[in-house]
Amino acid sequence: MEDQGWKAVSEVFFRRPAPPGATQTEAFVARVMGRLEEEARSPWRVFLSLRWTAPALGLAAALMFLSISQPEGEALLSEDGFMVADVGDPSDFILEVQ
Amino acid sequence: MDPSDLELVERVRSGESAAYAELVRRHHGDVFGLCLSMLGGAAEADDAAQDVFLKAYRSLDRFRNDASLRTWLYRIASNRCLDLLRSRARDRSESLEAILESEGGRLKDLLPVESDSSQAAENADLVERVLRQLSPEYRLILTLREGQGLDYEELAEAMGCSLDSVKARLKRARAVFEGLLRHLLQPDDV
Repeated sequence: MEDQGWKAVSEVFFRRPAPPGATQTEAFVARVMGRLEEEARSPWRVFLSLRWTAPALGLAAALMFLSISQPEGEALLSEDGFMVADVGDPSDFILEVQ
Repeated sequence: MDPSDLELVERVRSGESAAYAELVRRHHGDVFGLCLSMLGGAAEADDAAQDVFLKAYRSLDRFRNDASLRTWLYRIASNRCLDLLRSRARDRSESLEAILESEGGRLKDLLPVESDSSQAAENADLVERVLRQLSPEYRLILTLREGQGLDYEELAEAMGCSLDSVKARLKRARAVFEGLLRHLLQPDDV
């Protein structure tokens, strides 16, 4: 496409929008400053609005759930636990030497 | 004499939050204009522009004094618009063929352009539907260059890439968009 043709196309598809009027801008400024004041009063809202907050909270909840829902029967006995466990007569564990 | 952007930034940093209102007032047109061009709807653009100024306020400590505040705001706005367009793209359902089938005649009437604002408003929805066929990244660079009038250096700063990368991306984006139009308007009409 020649430059002249591209210019016509870009004026249709990428035309700069008309600038907002003074009233619209003042209303916008008031909304932004209002939100900033609100954030200053309750900063935790900023934390909740961050996009990684929900996934992070979800992951933390899932990890907590997994850690408390581990079935007791599958827990591995540590070496120390094994030594102090009541597993019968210690002589049962002595290998017989031929 | 009006204080410069940098003077206002310094005043905000030293705790004078009212100075920020003046910065918002100065740059509202640019930021809102980019959001509107990228997102299409005025309400969505207004929300996005608010988010941009809130994010900028929170990040003002990271603003380098040797940079242009306008370009820095464009960068934040670009990222915000890309996020919104990417999430919108996930549920985009309209195909190029669907536009062609339903609006083929109107598309041909779009060009050549007449600078008639009523006609522009009438065609705004169609323009938006065509632009939605572009990837968010291509739409962004074409909007910043053609709509907002940024030069190569400003583009590089706003997009966080090198000058060479800007030129290459712009060339590619333009080629893709021209291909899209060719497909819609038939080869001999473009």
